[in-house]
Amino acid sequence: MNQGRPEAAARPVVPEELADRAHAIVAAYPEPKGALHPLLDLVLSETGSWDGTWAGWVAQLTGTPVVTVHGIARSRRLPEADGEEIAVCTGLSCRWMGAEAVCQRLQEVPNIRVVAVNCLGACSAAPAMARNGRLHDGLTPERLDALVAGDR
Amino acid sequence: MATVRIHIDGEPVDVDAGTNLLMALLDAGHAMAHPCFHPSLSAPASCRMCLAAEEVGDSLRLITTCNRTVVEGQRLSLSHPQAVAARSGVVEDMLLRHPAECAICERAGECEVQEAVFVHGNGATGATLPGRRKKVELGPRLILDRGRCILCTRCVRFEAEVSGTDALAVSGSGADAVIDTCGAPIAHDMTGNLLDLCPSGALSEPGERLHAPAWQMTGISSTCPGCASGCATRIDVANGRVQRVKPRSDGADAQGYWLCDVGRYGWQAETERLTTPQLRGTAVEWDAVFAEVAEHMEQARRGAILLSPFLSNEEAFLLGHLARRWEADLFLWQATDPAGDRVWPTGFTIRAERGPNRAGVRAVTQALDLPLGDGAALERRLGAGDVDALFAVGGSLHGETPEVTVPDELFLAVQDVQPSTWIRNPDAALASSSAWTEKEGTFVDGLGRLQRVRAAVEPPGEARPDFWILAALWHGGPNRDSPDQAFSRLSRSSSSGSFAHLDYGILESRQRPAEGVAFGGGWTSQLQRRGLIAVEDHAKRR
Amino acid sequence: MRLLREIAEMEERRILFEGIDTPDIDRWPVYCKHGGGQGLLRARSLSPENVIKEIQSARLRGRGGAWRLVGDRWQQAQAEGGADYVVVDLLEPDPGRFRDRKLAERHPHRLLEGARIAAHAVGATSIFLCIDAESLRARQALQQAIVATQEQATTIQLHPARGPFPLAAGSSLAVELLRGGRAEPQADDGVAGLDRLFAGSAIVHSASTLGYLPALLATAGDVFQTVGSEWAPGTQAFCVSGLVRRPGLYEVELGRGTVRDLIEGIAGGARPERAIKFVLHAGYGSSPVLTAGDLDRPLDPGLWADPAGGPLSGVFGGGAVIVADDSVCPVDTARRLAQAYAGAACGKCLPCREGTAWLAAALSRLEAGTAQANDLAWIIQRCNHLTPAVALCGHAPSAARSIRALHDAFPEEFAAHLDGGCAVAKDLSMKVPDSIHMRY
Ligand code: SF4
Ligand code: SF4
Ligand code: SF4
Ligand code: FES
Ligand code: FES
Repeated sequence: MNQGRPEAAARPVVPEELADRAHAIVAAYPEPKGALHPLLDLVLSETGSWDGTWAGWVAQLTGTPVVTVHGIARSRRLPEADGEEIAVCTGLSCRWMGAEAVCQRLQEVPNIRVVAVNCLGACSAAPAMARNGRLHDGLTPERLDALVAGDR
Repeated sequence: MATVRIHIDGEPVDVDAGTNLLMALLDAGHAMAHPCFHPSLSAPASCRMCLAAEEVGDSLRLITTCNRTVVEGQRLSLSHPQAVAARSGVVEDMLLRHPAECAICERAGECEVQEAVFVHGNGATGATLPGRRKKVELGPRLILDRGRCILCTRCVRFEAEVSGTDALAVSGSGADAVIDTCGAPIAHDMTGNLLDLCPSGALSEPGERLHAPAWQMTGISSTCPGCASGCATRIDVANGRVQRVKPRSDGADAQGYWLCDVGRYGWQAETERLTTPQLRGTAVEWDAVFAEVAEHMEQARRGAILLSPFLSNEEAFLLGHLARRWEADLFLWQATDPAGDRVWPTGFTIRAERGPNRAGVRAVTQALDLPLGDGAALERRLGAGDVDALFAVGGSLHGETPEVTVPDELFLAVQDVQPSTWIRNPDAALASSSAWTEKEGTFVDGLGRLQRVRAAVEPPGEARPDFWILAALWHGGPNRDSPDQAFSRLSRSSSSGSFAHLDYGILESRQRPAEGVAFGGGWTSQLQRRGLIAVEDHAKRR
Repeated sequence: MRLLREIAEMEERRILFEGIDTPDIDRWPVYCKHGGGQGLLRARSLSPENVIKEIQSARLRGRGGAWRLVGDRWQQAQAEGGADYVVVDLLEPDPGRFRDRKLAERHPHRLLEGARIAAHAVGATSIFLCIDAESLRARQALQQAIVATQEQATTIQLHPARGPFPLAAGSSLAVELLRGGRAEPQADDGVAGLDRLFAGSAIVHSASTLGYLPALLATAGDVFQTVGSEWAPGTQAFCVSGLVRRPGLYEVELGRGTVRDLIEGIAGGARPERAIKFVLHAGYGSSPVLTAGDLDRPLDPGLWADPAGGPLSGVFGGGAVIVADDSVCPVDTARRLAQAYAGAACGKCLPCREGTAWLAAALSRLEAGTAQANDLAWIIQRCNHLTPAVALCGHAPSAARSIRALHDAFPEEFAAHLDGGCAVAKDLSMKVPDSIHMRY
């Protein structure tokens, strides 16, 4: 009668340090379920992508059904599995301040995947983009070139 | 209980305090679509269909009714233009991506999407979005058509709150949200309920159209014989055949709105039936069997009758009289699931006691003042050579059968639905009716509730209803005695007992109507039959 | 001359962001040296009842966008036996709004101090800071501040959750994230009272609201005595972005100036040779759209229909001001907004899930010049339909209001798109403003 809570067949290999951090997070909540969103974020920022095998781990730590963890994870902004990703804000202010030009410039750079996102919360310093989670705002053609050049 | 007065479109209505506001509206006969609401589940108020205008001071505000409780003095307007427009707008939203395929949908005719369009729609469908088309298998008995799904989450809540298996979740967000199992199939003993509670045709059974269209079926109220829980059922029949079995309930009957898969699908099991009366393995006419059985049982000095927990009260009543006539002793066997009671989080129980009417059979023998032994007692008597003729009734629906070793030399008559493998080859075999869909009478369930069982179809071939067989034995040949009459006689003979002062009429008046299931499709037709709404109303409102 | 007068009249008045220019103000010793911590000290020397009384008489209103009186909410919480948790809503998913994030990044101790004061007032011993997991800088700053001020009395826990989040979803969204549920709000069931969280109850505040508490408590409410309008004392930090010369975060006194003072005065107005075309006065969902003609509306929420039932139509909002000049097409704007709203819809309720997706698709067609004849009429019809209560939370209604408002302000431009035409010479090149105010 427990098919809904399959102990996920494939279990991720969890580094000890990560497990410790996870347990510390769980301990900070009166009920383990409260730790679900922070744990999802922990997995995502540590592994860089959502691999279903982690659902079982989060489910067990939080006492949440695996399928619920999956469902919630898939409703979140998930990074792609591989390649470098630059999130360019195409919110209103950024759009007006030149987001499209930013995208065009970045698309010329090999091995970078450009994704358009909604407001990054840096609107007064538009246009803005986020690279590996780090925000770069107040972009000018020069800054953009310098950022890209810094790569090589 | 304290009552609360609310005003619906100016009409005062008194309801019990604490009543759900939507339920109060429905009970007062107002047609209000409620695709996400189910009275036995939590209310997320997410479909936003059940909108009414509430008067607050001089102003009006729209509220959802399904997630509120009635408030004293509350004034609601369902017909306010704002409320009417809001509901028809939500209907339009619902249709933006909904496929227009009622013609090929199994759910057509008892679909809450159709019903919502029927009661609230304004006939306009100007905008459409490309629909989604994806059929996925959720489990061995369940297909999800995501194109038809309106994401009401009744199914998700059922799996969390009732079956307790948490097998489903909403995955993704916004317009990309879908219902998903994330790979783990749904396989428990309550899956059929998902078909009932899904308001649309999104959840269905695999295979071709499994049953006749809704409008061709006739519902017959009965009681599930699957175990001693006595769930209220509706057997849907079309073209002389059983199409499906559904829970029959407005929520007050045996186990709420649910039916387990044993009760729902049990009748479909292909069992080899005994279709002819037989004497020593050869098919004969019924008269020959009656004569043979009567002769042997009457002559026996130490006759015995083994009663079955699958017998109705009326059948047991006749057998009790036969026991007196034959001076035979009575025994009752028991069908028990060794796994024990199976209890779901909300208390829904599939009982280990798998015979639906052991309590009733016992009560009948008590009413007749006849001593009753159990299966083991019979086995002891047989072992001691203390029986010289045995009339045994089988009828098991699940394969649990009594353990009796019957010596070759004594006369053995067996009344059963299938060729009996649990007992030695009988001298006389009486081909009888299956309790699933062929029995007429009453049961007493494990909680002592007396309920009607009804025959939806006739037994196959020469097989006959148990009652007909026993009445023929009692009266010396086929006759017009009916379970109805037998019950009245039983009632009289149990002047102070369980059956006193009852007849079928009284039972019927206590029973909920078979037509319509208030939730899971068909609620508008229910309101119509109850005379609460009329089709023309809707035509006019357009 | 008009411009000069207004610049003179409208100036910054910092209460929430007071001290933000101080170097290293995000470090505890520096914060203390500049008077930080006094509000909490004083609050703890008072009984919760007295703290509540002070905040009631200061008439502090929530800065999330609903503008409810904080003191009254606390009193109600007390009447319900107090709250077990203070939940700080730092999600700020609204386009154009970045105030709470700035406060957290730059002035974390002020936020924590405010949260602790609120906890003292309602009797809570735990504080959760609910934040978009992708706001890395703010998370870091808050985490450091939490570690630096650990104490027994109140525990503070950062609660990062990944987006997207619906806009104007109300307090239940943060609570749901803490419960480990889907990022969806709960429907209003007509039962007033605190949100349930774990085995107890929670009160939810927006970060900026709490940021006023240290100053209010330290001065026994004095700072609000002379600042702000009668309905809403104090200041509001406006996030001005878009096509102005000096975008940035401006904290100004409520009730003193007008939208024009803010945009054309303090934020420098349109870029050279450009004219302001419209302003999205937003930050609590979005709306209304102010065209160049109605910029003289006073910056006093008490005069607006929402929140105060005042004579000015539209929603005063939560402090986002997005400025468009004549290089901007309103249809393009509506399309982008609709796409953003559709993308951030949680999907819980039917009208928004289907309706915003349809609006995004229809507006894309309209913008691309491939609309069907009825599309525009249907867009307006869908917008009129998506009102509060029809949708479960404020997300869809604010989408609908903004689109509708853009249409009402520029009906000809919308109609022109039906025939495939856009008359606006769009300028999508990269631009550099003269300066960016309060940038760290
Ligand atoms: S499958 Fe049916 S019950 Fe489940 S969410 Fe979809 S429409 Fe509702
Ligand atoms: S619980 Fe028992 S009575 Fe109810 S449906 Fe299942 S088998 Fe039938
Ligand atoms: S309006 Fe409905 S679907 Fe949209 S964000 Fe709110 S709850 Fe979610
Ligand atoms: S619009 Fe780009 S950061 Fe807000
Ligand atoms: S919102 Fe009330 S029935 Fe769905």
